[in-house]
Amino acid sequence: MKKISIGIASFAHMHAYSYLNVFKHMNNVDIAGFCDLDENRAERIRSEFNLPFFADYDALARSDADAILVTTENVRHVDAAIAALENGKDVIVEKPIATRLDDAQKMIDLARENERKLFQCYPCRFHPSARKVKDLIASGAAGDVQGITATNHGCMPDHENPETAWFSTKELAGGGAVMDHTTHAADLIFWFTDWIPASVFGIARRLFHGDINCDDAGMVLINFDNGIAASIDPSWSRPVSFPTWGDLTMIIYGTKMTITIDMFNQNINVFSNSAKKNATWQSFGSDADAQMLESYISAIANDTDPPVGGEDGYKALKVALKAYESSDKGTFVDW
Amino acid sequence: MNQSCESPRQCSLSTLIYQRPHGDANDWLVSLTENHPGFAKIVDLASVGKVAGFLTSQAKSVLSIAIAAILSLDESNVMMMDPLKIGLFGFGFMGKTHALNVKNNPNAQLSAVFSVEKDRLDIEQLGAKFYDDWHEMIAAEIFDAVIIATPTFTHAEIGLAAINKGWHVFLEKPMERTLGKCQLLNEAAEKRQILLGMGHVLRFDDEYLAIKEKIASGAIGIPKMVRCTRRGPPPGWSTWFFDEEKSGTVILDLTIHDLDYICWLAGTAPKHVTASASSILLGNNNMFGISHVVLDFEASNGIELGFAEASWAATASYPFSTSIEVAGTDGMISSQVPGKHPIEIYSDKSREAMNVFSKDGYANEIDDFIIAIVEGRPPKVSGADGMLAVKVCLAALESAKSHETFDLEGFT
Repeated sequence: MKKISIGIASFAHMHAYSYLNVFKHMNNVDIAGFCDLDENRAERIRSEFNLPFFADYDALARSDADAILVTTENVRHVDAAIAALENGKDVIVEKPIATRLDDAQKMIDLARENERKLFQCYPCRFHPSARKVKDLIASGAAGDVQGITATNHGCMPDHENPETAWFSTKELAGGGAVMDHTTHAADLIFWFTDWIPASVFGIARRLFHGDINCDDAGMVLINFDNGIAASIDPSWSRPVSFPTWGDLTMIIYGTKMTITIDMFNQNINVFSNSAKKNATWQSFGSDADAQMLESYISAIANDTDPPVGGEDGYKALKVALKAYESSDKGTFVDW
Repeated sequence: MNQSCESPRQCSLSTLIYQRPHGDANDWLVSLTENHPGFAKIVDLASVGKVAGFLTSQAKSVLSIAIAAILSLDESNVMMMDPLKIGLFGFGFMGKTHALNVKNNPNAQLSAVFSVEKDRLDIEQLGAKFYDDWHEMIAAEIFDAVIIATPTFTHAEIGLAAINKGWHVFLEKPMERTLGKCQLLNEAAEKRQILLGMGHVLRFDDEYLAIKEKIASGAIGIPKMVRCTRRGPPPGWSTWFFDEEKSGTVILDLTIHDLDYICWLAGTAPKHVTASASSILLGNNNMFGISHVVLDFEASNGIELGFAEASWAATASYPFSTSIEVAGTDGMISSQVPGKHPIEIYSDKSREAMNVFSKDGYANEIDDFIIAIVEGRPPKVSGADGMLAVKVCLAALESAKSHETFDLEGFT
């Protein structure tokens, strides 16, 4: 069996660590190496994981990797992805695909021109609960879906920690909570249904944290052209003391079934005296990251289309960007 | 309880002591009973209603003055109060609930109920007179106060007739279907010095009161964002809900609970209201059955953002469910029903999990209305509050139709 070789463009996003861990457990994957524009982090990764180091995105793209995993800060996705595509590599890009629609379009176009695959990381699609819901809707068992309410709450990524501070730095993340947490839920809605948005309303606010330059809370409403409405709450409204990182929930109102998803609600309760009165939730749920990456590697090995591609990334990003546009304007904006 | 009293007047004494929310009425009564021969047979607070008949008129007078003193009331209210004669309009889902709570309130007496013929027996069994014509009931009866739990669009017509009679009025939510009718009710009540109470039950519900108190204690820092949901199958008990002209859809009938509560927490009206909604088949009509409403209170030293989703679109086996979370600068509060409850009942066909209260919000809101009349103070939820809730909902309804955000101040 031919091994698929992966180059990792940056460990800025912590998913690089979890994805690396998944790859290490896959016997048909090799790691070609990594690059990281942050020298300190590069040095730490090199010694911690014993991976070959490449100086920049171009050098990594010219390595003998088959595909490049892009886990840079959001604004750098486009540079790392373009370098990879120009050098004939497939790309697996963390969400959001980019921070601007024209960048996302550039990536999609270049992948098409160079006949490369562009995979978009939306691991929620690979969670067994989401697959079950997709089946119930696609088979008609749930009836016609008449509305969806979604949340993707989180704690704010630690702004004091230099490794995670970029998430709440507008210039690097392209926004705050609305950019970070609108797209998972938007992607699931698009996947579950074939609805086309007509207009979007958004509020993006800084409500909870004084020391950041981006939004940490918001609300997004979507009116679809079939008259159906949906909402997404992307707020980083979970306090540090919350028993887990956040949630992804949905209620789906079908004419035959009402379905609720609480994707990360497979937990054991942990009461530790070291945490005083706080209980924490320790997940025993399925590893959606692993399901996703196994599917993507298999698509590379078998030369099939990406299960979640650039167009999917584009649409989900567009929801977040429309929400910001609406927030500035103070009312709905057309899709 | 009425039936254990020798005369209604004595019941009101015990109830006033019992209902004093804080303080030392019990201690005071014990010391009074020890020192006054007229109270020799009173051994504890709970027995006051039963034994008050033993009191001499002089002792009653002393007791009344003393009660008035600790409750800061006009003593004449305490001494002279007979149970209030209550007229109830409507005997549907809420009307029945109110009827029982009036029955259980020692300061009130359910004297007549307007409903349809099929309810006659049930109403007469409650000891109340039955009317199937509300005009006739208003013409024939004399009440101290009325409770209006008829369909939303009829509230003003009945309410104005009651106000004209000089009776205090408790209105089930929503106050009315249009702002104009809310305005008429408020103006008439003010002119006639009538107390208007509103059935915004969350403001009387222990779960929601606990949340408000916890926020006030500073436990979550400055509260900033509130998120509420209220979901269930379509209301199957009546069809007028499914006529937008009558009910105002799921927005005016259901999510109004949460929107009112959010405004109460925020302590102010929202600046902007935005909503999206799905039309679904309800009865024979396509109308809004799922709504998402965003309240923008703008930058402030308190709640800035409110969101409420409500649905009549759940399938039949989905239990009526509510949730709320309030996120602040230093923590978060959340609660949901069904959640973890003190009692869960499993039958062969269904599971029921519930919160249980010695007194639920519906009883508390009626008690507040009755005590307000006794004390001559406004009920906890005013006509202005009721009208604001309607205004927010109507703005949301328009926003969901036009896909525009509305400034609430200019909304008419």
